[in-house]
Amino acid sequence: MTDSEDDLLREMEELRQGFLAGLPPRLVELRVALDALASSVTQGFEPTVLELLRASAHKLRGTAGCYGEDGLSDAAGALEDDVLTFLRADDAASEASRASTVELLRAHLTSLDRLCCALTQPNDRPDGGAG
Amino acid sequence: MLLVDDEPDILKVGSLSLRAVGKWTVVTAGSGIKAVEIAAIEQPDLVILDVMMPHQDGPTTLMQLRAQPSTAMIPIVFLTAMSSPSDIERLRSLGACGVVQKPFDPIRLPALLRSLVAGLPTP
Repeated sequence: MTDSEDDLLREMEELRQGFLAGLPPRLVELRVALDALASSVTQGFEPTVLELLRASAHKLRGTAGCYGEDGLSDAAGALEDDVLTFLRADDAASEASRASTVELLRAHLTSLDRLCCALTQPNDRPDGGAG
Repeated sequence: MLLVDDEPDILKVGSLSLRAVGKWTVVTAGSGIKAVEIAAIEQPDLVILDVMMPHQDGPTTLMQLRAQPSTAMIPIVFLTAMSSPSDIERLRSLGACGVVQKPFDPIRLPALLRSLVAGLPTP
């Protein structure tokens, strides 16, 4: 490994710590958006809330991956993909489709919460928190 | 290099990679609108342009850069989390030199850019 790569990894670790510190508010943003969707299953989803959820998940997908947090990136990606699948589905207007989508998204958010807890509480990590 | 993304963490990681590994001078923009302004002033060797941004997306920004004589010839590489072959082909067809997929490996990013764009400055 070159000196410049060493420097990069050192600075990357500092940035990664900042990213991890900012994870809980990101998940709160996702949770608020998902709760808003859940409360509108019967009358129909607000497009701006769906877009907020998709965009937030999209950002988390790309950013987490660049920090080497592949599990987090994959879970955020799955959430984004399921929002897109809903938007493209023929039966997106049905209440049943909205209800099942909320359940799917909740499962992804639960995964994200678990991963976030593991990453921000290093002693609980199976690998000892090495990153 | 001009790195354009609405996500601050991508700007931090990307500019660190381009600076520390690529040995390039980096300027960043948090929006497509800002990127068009900065590109005209800074005349970067390359614009690395996020695709999905609010207000003005990457493809629209590319069109605006191409429409200005002072920025029309600057190479552009898209940065995107899109992964389907049709999405990648569509982005290339807009006139980009290449597409870098997110998440990217910060250590390999400069080499990847050099493989996509001929004539980039070397350390």
